[in-house]
Parts: sequence; C-alpha cells; structure tokens
Amino acid sequence: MHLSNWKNFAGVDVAIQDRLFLVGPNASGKSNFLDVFRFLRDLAASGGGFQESISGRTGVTSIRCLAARRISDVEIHVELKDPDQTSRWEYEIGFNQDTQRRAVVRKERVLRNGKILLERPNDEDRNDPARLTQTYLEQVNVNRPFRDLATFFDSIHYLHIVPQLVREPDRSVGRHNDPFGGDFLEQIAKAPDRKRNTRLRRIKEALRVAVPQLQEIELWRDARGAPHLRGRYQHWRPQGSWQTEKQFSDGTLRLMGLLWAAMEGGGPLLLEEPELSLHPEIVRVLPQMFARVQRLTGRQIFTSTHSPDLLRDDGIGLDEVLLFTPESEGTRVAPAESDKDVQPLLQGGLSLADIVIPKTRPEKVEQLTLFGDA
Amino acid sequence: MRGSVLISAAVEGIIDEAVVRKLILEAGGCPGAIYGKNGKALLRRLLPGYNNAARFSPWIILVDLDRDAECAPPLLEDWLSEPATSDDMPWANYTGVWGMIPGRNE
Repeated sequence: MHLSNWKNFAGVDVAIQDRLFLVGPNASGKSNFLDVFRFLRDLAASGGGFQESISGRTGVTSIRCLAARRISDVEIHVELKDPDQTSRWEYEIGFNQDTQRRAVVRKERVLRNGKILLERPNDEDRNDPARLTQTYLEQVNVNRPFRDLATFFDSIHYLHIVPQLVREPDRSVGRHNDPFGGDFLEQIAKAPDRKRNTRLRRIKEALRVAVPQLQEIELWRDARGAPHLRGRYQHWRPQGSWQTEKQFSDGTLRLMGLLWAAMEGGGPLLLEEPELSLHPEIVRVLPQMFARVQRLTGRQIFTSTHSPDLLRDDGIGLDEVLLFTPESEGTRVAPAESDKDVQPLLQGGLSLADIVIPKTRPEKVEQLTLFGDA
Repeated sequence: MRGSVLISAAVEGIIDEAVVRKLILEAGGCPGAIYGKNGKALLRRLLPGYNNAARFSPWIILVDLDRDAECAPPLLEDWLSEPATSDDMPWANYTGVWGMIPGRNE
C-alpha cells in the first residue's frame, strides 16, 4: 500500500501481510490507516460511492494530511494478489476538491498483471469534467473488466463492537452492517439456520474456554419478534439459568462479535483493539486464533492494538507489526523489522511486546500524573 | 534535536526514566525508546538483550546499585560477562562509559 496525504500520513509505503498488528500511541493514526481499507470498501459498496465516501468523512479537507504541501492531492495506491497467485491487481485513486469544494477524482487507474485496464482522466472526462465526481469502481456499467476488484473491496469488513449498542439495537435502527454492532443480532438472525447453528456451536465451544459456566447459546425471539442471543449458564438449579445479551458481560459480547466475524470469508477483517474487556490470557491467544481462522477462511486480519499481551505471541513475525511514530511532518509507518534495535533485542531474549510498546510510548506521558494541578 | 545522537535506555521504573531522559538531553543526545520500567529483576533478566542492541547503537542502562556491589564495575562484571563496548562500534565515534551516580545516602 502506498499513501500520500491521507489523514495523519504525508507518505506511507508498506507491505501488507495476511495478518497485521498496528501499534502506536493514541491518535497516531492506527484507525486512520484502517480507514483507508474502509474507504475502498465504501467506494465499491452498494449504496456507497466516491461522493458518499468523502462526505461521510466530512470532506476532502478533513481527509487531507495537515502536512500536505504543494502537491495536495490525496492518493491511495494498493496492489493485490489472488490467493492462487494468478492475477496481480493494482488500484490507484487520487482526489482533491474543486473551487466549489466538491470532491473530484484527479486520477484513477486499474492494472491487472501490469496491463492498464483503466486510466483516468480519459477523453470522456476531459469533455465532461462532471464525470470526475464519480469513480469507475463504483459504477456497475463501466467496472465490468475489474468487477472482481470491486467485489473484493466490498467484502472488507470493519468491526469495533460497542457492547451497549448490541444490547440496545434501537439506537442503530436502519443501519446495515453496522461496524459497532448495532445490527449484530439482526445479522445473526438473518443468517441461514444451518450456518447460524454451526457458528453459534463453534462460538459456544470457544467461549466455554473464556466463560466456563456457559453451556449453550441460541438465537431467541421475544414476543415482538425481535432477535436476541441467549445463553444458558451453569447454576445451582439443575437446568441452569438463561440470560440474554442484556446480561452478557462486555467481554463476552465483544468476543462473540469477533468470533462471528472471524468465521465469515471475504476481504480483510479490520479490528480495533480486540483486547478490550478481555482477560490478558485470552488476549494472548488471539493471534493464534487469527492465524487458525486465516487457514480456514483465507481472510486477511488487520488489528490495531495497545496490548502487550497480544504481542507476546511468539508466532508474530516482525513484518506483521507496523509501528506508528508521530513526527512533525505526519506519522511514519514502518514494519518492526526495519528497526535496527529489534533483531538484537529479540536475540537477547526480549519479547516483541517488550520491544515495541516502549517504542510507541507517547511523549511526555508522565505529565498525565499531574492532571488536576492548577 | 536534529543531528544529535539517539540514545536508547533501560531503567527500573518511571522515575528513573525521567532521570535518564534528562541525563541524555544534558549530554547533548536525544532520548530514544526507554525500556524496562518493570523493576530491577526484569531489567537484569533482559540485560543480555539490551547489551546485544548496544553493539549496534548507543545505550544507557540506569540501575540502582543498592547493596549489590561496592561500585558499578564489579556489578557490571557480575551481571554481564561480555558487556558491549565502544570497540563494537568503531564507526560511531563515542566512548563506552560505565559509571556510578551517587545516591542521596552516599
């Protein structure tokens, strides 16, 4: 992936592995990095498109890096490979705003195996500049030669479950595929019976490790027909007691959402701090779980994290950790392997967590202890 | 800070971190990542790693002498059989120093 002027990043040029852990101080741009993938998904999604993707991010000026100088176009360039290595795709988009502050495409290119399938602006764009308010990627009538690419982008899934939104779906009425879990119960209800039952059984088996009292999980509809998840907990009563998502702990709900999403195939799964509300020992095994899911579904998993426990897994490669370092000209993104200290420290017995967490410490964090002083 | 030497460090806790940052700045360096901060036992266990890294870039280890030794050199001898020295980095043009900062009670 290559980026220019995207949010915190004046320039980024990194290799994307099947599994990525994004590590950096607060507000260094980890979520904004994931947002590149969400942006590509929004471009290609039905009901999405270029203008919606930009306005949903409150305009080009909110997207453009503050450090952007003379060349102020925002650019994203991604390269993709089919899992069977038969095709290599490239998608490139550059955009800016016109004098009426309307978002316009400056450049759009699609290549397959090095052959250019699309290069904009083209003659039609020059004859009718209004065409540059849309990408070809979002238009079904012109994206046929690279429909696979659009379908792949559309299958990118961002997940950051907010337990309270799962418990109170009324807050998110009308939202579809809500990354914050507002329609999580609805998604489970809509899954075909067999698929749902298989997934819930697998989730139950996985959850029993974390929540040993949990004996059963099922979808249940209340008198109004609204779907609920309910679980039967071991109890002093022989039959145990049933509880719904209203009573599930935050950790249980977040883990359920994570496991549900992990079992879906498709494009990259983007996770924000999956460690939230979870016991450190559970967090420690998440990377292995991701690796196993990848073997089953082939799905890429990119996750932001602040958790040393998550990074304690010996199986994490140095090329799988991206370090975010804020600098005066925007955040620098680099794989941990590019840092010259990392290799000797690892050889000396430090874990990846011991090494990368200090590297991403916020400057002057000790000032926080003085909070409240006049 | 541009052009000054980036110096990494490992310390016992967050107070030591503040001290080592100040020391590095006073010496005209630029503080890099500060490691450890989880007590002396952990610092000692991970010392071979820091020592390894110190063969490639400048490092400071700041540790309380307590009553572990008379002064810094014997402690160092006890803790590390092959401490990194400036000879490991002839290109870096700096001198390895192992010293002792007197505490309040000394």
